[in-house]
Amino acid sequence: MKQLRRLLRQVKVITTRQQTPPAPDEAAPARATRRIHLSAQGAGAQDRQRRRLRVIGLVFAFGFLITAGRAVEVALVGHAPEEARVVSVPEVRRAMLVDRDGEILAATMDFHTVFADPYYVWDPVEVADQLITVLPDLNRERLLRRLQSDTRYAPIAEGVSPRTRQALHMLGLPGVFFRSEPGRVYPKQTAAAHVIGYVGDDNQGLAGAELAFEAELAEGAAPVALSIDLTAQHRVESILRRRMAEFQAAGAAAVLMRVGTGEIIAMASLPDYDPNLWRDARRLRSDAQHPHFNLASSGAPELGSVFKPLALAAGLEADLVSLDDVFDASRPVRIGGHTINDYRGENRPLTAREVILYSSNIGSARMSDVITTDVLTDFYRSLRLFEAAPIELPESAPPQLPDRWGRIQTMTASYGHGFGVSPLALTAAYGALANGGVYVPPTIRPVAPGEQVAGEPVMRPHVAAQVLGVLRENVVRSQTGSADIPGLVVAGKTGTAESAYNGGYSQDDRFNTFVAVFPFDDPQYVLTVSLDRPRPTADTHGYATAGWTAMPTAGEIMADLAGVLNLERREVDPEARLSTVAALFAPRERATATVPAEEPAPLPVEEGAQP
Amino acid sequence: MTRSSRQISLWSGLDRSILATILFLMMVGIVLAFAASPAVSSADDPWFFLKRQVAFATAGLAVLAITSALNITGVRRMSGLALLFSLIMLALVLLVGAELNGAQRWILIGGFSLQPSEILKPAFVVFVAWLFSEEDKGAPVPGRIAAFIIFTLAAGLLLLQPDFGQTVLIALTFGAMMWAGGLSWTYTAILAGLGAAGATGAYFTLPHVRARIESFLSDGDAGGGRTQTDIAIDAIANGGFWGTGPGEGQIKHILPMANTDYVFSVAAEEFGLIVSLTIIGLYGLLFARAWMLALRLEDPFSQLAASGLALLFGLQALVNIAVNLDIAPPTGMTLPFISYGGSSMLALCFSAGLLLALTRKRPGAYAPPSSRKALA
Repeated sequence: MKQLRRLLRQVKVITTRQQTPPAPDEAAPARATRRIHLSAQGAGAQDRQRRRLRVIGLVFAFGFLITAGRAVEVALVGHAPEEARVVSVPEVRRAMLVDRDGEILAATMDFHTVFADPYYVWDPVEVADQLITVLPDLNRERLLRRLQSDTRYAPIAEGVSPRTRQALHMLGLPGVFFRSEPGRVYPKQTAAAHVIGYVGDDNQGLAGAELAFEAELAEGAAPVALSIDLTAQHRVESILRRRMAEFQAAGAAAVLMRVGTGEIIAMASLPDYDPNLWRDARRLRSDAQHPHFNLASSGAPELGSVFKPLALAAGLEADLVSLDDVFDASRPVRIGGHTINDYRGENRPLTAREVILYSSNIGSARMSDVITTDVLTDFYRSLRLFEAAPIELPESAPPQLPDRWGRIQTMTASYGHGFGVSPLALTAAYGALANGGVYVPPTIRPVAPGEQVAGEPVMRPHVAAQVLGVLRENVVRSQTGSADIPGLVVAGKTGTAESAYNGGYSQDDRFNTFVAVFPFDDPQYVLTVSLDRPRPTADTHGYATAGWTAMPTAGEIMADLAGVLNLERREVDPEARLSTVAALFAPRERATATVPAEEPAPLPVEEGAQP
Repeated sequence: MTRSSRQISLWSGLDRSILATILFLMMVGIVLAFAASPAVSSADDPWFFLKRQVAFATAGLAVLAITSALNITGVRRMSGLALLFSLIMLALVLLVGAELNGAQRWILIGGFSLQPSEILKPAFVVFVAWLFSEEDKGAPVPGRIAAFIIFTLAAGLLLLQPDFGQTVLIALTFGAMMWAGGLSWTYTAILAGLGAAGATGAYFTLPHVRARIESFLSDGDAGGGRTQTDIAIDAIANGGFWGTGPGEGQIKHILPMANTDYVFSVAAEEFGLIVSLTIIGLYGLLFARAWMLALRLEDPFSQLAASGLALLFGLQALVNIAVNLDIAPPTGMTLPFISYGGSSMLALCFSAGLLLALTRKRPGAYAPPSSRKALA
């Protein structure tokens, strides 16, 4: 059978060859002919071999084609792991916060998170050792464990600087990736921390201007300017910080507001914090306020005698009181089981002016009887004292108000007890006194020169002027004179509130405040300085009242700021007070509803006031 | 007919296309060593592997030149000797071999690691072709049975290392040669069944074979973590069409065996699809040319031996590239002439020399054009 098949095949080949005779010009060499003859018997086998080899060749051709196709697929359809594959930089970057001069208070920068994908890490030991050369704080063991783990995400370091990122990048470690996320940077650190605020993980404002102007900042169109003057802010903060330490106060606050525009030039609250590290802020003492707390606006403590001039203004405005009206302060007022007494009182009848000058609680209480509850509360309300100070900051606390306004509440409210407002609200109320009786809401946005600021007339200008005159006299006559800065003609009033303590008052826990308006004859700024629970020092002869603590602090601030605020120093003119006050009684023409921003209309002053 | 043309010199009758393709592939290997060498070398000498690659290529060319000068008888003799030598070495490897990556494949001879299986392959192919043709010529030797015994011996020694990839390679080549050499369909079916049974048996008895195949079938992330092939695929994808540029490849740094089994991926990452297609094309060209010449050879032995050697090149290249492209499980096979490796390079040059010797244009070696036409 086998033989037969072989024979048939041979025959077939021979027939094929006969059909195509060799070309005559191609004579095969003798040796080749011999070879053909030698293999003639296997010619059929070789034919089959050729056929089968062709089949194998075709299979291989197919294999090469598949391989080439797959190479195209992998190269073009496959997705490459990108080093920056997780980077997601939103198109809109949160806008900067700048101060009134364009100094950067908050900016958005890229923060880099370093992580490894152990999937791509071939040699964890080498990668760990290399990483440690740049980030020496890393724990090698923990890092190795992470690099050897089965996860696809092994965090290595967070918030590294661009420089560190570059250094790590230059190591060229496989499997080490970076994710950059926009983060908020506060280059001035603690400066104006409470005004600026901070943002959360998602770069959304959580406090301060960051929260107040969230929409505008998130829009990212242009830097958001604040009314803060960084230089003034810094000086206020540094003086306040030193004084707070000196008096071992639990907290301190200062607000510097521009008269006429309501712009907050500086606002400080101590203890403060670094918004870059706001999560780390901790109380230093258990009884201290939390660093995040903005004492200038977030609390509504009783502020004390600083309200007496406002009560007087209420009486003057209602024409119920004049400066020379006499109130009997010879005996304490007993009412509803309470006794209203004076601190080192004169124990004699006092004129309305003297009630302020001697800061008589009794006189103020008696005067409030004349003013009546309705007039006083309406006046306070018009000064926006019965609401949270109308500022953009979310940390503006509502006032602490009594449940009902009876006679005793009216009496205590006239000298700043029994209800409380934030130092910021008080500053704005004094702003009305300084602004010819027109209340301008405080703002942390700068007011462009020439911009019209809407205000609310609260009292007649001469009423404001009369009260200012008393306040100027108050500063001149003060025991220490620490606020009578030469050339600044400061008007002001102290307030020493005994902190409410278990239903009573503690003599040792005072909240001291000094409010200053300066220059008195051309008011441009209101400065409020508060010290929470200051302790007496040797310099204060054992006293810890506002006149010994808050007033000299404010004085130092004003003296320091005079140059910064570009105030023109005036010669001290003993006649200035009297002539100015006299002039203030004259009818004046002054814009009430609106005030030019950059240059508030000066109070009309007689020539004699300014030599 | 002049005297000089009758003389068989080194150059005359040598197939220029095959030689050029091989030289080109070796050059590609050296260029890629620039890319792959720093990634795998120690910091002391980033060009360690490059220097060795050049040295091996030079030595390989000498081997190629000498081997290609052999006449047909010389080819047979040389293959017989090499087969004997490599079988002995394969046995020795099991006794005194160096273990690397879980397998005993290397014999260290004075700082040079010799992998006998590389020399075995061409020698085996040529010797088997000779046995077949002797039997067909009616020589009193049971050629096919002898070939099968040698194959069993070689495959057994390779499996003991274990080197499953090489076993499969010579098994496939041997099978293809047997089939081409006139195996009846009955035996074809039987042998195919045996091969399938052997592969299945290996899957169930050899744990590393099973692990690799399961990892290949499990589609990457499913289990066992990231395989070398996953990284290779990332590298190729990273290269895209144009590549990252010379020296710019990143993934090559985490790619193990970047200079040997996965050199294709390094090439694809740095030089892109154009070069990876060129490499595939070069192997295609080498195979096609060798195949075409083999088909035209008159001598059944030369034909079968040449096609067997072409099969070796083609299979090895295809399997290596397929592994890089994740269409075949990892085998530990190198990319001919491109991958780094002394034994591999010398053995491949030996194979190429044999191929060139077999396909050399000698009087009567090729069927005349007319008869070619008839056969076509």
